[in-house]
Order: sequence, then C-alpha cells, then structure tokens
Amino acid sequence: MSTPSYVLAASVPSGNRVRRFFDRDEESAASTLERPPTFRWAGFDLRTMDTARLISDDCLEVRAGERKVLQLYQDGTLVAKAAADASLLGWGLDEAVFARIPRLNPVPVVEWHLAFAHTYRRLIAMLRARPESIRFRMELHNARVGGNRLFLTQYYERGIQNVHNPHRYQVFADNPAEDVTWAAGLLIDEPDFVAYLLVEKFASFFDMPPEDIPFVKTIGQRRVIDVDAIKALSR
Amino acid sequence: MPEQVLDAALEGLARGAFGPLIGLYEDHQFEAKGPVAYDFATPNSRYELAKDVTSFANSNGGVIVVGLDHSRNPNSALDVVRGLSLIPSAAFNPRQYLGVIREHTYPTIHGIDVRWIEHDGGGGAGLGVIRIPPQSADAKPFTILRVVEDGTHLKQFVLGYALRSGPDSVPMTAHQIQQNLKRGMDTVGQRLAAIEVLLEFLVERDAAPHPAAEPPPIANRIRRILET
Repeated sequence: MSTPSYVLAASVPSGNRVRRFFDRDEESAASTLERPPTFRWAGFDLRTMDTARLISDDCLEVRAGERKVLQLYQDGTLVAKAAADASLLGWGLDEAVFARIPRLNPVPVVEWHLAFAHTYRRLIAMLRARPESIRFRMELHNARVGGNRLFLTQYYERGIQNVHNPHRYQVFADNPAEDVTWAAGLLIDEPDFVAYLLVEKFASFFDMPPEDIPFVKTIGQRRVIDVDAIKALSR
Repeated sequence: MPEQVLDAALEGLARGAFGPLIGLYEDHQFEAKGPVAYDFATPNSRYELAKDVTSFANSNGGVIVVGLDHSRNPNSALDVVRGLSLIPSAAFNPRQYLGVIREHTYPTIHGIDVRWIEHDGGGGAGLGVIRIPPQSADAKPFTILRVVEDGTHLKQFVLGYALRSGPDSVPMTAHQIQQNLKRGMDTVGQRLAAIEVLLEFLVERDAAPHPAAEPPPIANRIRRILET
C-alpha cells in the first residue's frame, strides 16, 4: 500500500538566499528547523526532535522517521512532508483501522498549516533580501487507501465516536495539487491569516466548505486560524 | 513533556506509586508498552526490544515501562498513558531482557537497568522498567544485531541502526546506514564538509560573472522529498 503523503512547499523568487546557511547558532536556519515555532506541548507541529543535517550542498533536513520531513534549501525554499495516515494527519488507532476508514483528523490538518506558516515566516526573515512574493505548492499523494478515498470531517469537540453518521468530505482526486502566490508581506504581518488560506486550499481538495474549518475566528473581514483555540486543546 | 514531570513520575515509579504515570505522554525520553510488549517467542520481538533500546542509547537515554495501557489522543501527536495493565513478576524476567539486549545490540550499552517493580498496593502485580542512561558520544552509534535462523540452521546477521525521534524509535534504511558509514558519523567531519561547501560558494561568487542558473523547479524538490 502506498502511504498517503501531503507535501507543502514555500518558495521565493529566484536570486535570493538564506544568510549564513551553514551556521549552527541559535539564530540560524538550522536552529529554526530543529526548534520551529510551536503552540502547545505535544501538538501536531513541525517539531521533529532531530538535528539538522546537510543532505546535499544546499539542503538542510530534519525528520521524524517517515511522519515528518522538512527540507530547507539555500535559496529559501522550504519543503515539508507530512504522513497523511494514522501516524500524523490521519485519525486511526492503527494501519488496519485506517485502511478501512481513512479519515483525516481536522486538528493536525489545521495545526500543521499554522505551524508551517509561522516557521516559514521566521525563515524568510533570514533571507538576504525581503521577497516580494511567496509561492506555495500543495500536493496530496496516494489519497486512496486500499480502494477507499481519504476523507475529512468536521471537528467534534465531544469526540467523533459520539456522533452518529458524521458527514464525510471525500478527496476529489487521487493526487490533488494546488499552486498559489501571495505577497510576502501577508505572511510576515498576518501569518494566522495565511495559515487559514492554506487550510482553505487543503479543504478544497475535499470540497469541504470553509464554514466547516475548525479553530477559526474572524478579525475584521478576515477569517484567521485561532491560535488560542489550538493552545486550548492541551489544557 | 517537561522533564520535571517525567522525573517526578519516575521517582514515584521507583517506590511503586504508579498513579503519576497515568496521563503521561510518550516522547523522546519515555516509551509506554502494553503488558505483552516483548514476548521473545519470535526473533521479531527480540529485534523490537533491541531497536527500542538502541534508539534511546543513540539519543539521550530514556526509559521504557512495560505494563501500561496507552493510546493515541486525537488532539495530540503523541500516545498518552490511559491506565495500568500490571504484570506479575513471572512475566518480566530482567535477566532475560538483559540477555536479549546483550545478544542483539553492539557495542555494549552501559548502565542499563532492568527491573520489575511491585505496585505499592501489593497484590503481586507491577511494572517492568528498562532504563537506558545517556551514553558517551564516543561509543555511538549503537547498532542492532539480528540473528535469523531457518530450519537448516543457516544464520544471517542483520545490522540495523535506530534513533529516537520524538515518540518513535525509527530504524534507518540500508541506504541511510551506508551513507552515514561512508561519510562517517564524526561531527567534525560534517563541519569540515560544511566549511568546504562554503569556501566553494565564496570562490564561485567571486569568479567571472555568469548568468544565474535557474533553481530547480519545485516539482523536482517535491519528488525528492517523497522519495527519501
């Protein structure tokens, strides 16, 4: 069975680079990969507990087995792979259960995108020049598990096991993908808004309406990810 | 998990007070196992123990507790201890555990402590505890040796290497092992390699101007991460 995987990448226009890419001090890019922004203990964030290593002359990597892999390139491209199965984005006790009921958990789906936005925001501050724009690329691979499509559900505070016949938003294709480019200033000034936009794009792979995206609040005219709601999950 | 939370729980564990273990999350220093985690009846279960122990030894040490009921919290990335599934002393033989570890790991992991601790409420039930202290960097890496026997007594030795990554004991692939052996796992070597790359970059930057190469398309990099 090919493992479902979700790849989220961010890049800036060519000609830029990460300053002091090979440094290892606390202000370095390697340190950011090793200790990315988090919102709570034991959250579904980008933390891997790994030590950054050069896997080629222009790429730093940290990984937590096959669950999470982060690769940062010297030109400022960040590529993050998340296992879209029971080990991270999925909701299942084990592989056998997930193969029958390949349900993605809305909690890690939202928190992963939030963590990515904040991590990349920290990384682009280390670029030689402030970029004008950021391109995000999102790809979901092997979205069919044992003949069953991955699906998303709403978030149920009292637990989905207590909900009768929850609606399933099934992925519309085996390998959906999306490209978007936004102003870099948007991520720098409003990372929670960019995180929401990313989640909305991901939810569109499942035709899930925006109003069913959890952990969202409205500020002015904007829907943003509610970081406090994420933090409250661990209380 | 904050270190003081784990330390307090382990302090109580040593006295047979198991209550503080409930609610603990697995992480890079703590692994919860059910009552029949390692039955040693199969080579695979012996390999699993070696993998778990060497992964802690290759990191910063840790503790494995056998006899806990644990499951995934849907709001968290980690398994949490839900309760106790205590085991009798006959079900946890420390000498057997030490023997399996000695036979299936290389080099020797120093200071491993394996013991069965009775619940302070009595009743002849308790928990099995395997403590792996932090190991000297000079002694690393610790590897897994697996002896596979078939009906004709043919033996194969399989070398493996596992690293504790968050709550998981992650075995390296054969390619990763080979690459690390080739490069050497000496951090000085890695730093020298990084300096070399930086020097090359500086030389190229100061060389005659040339058109800047277009970076590889993002699709290539995504393909690369999917293949790792």
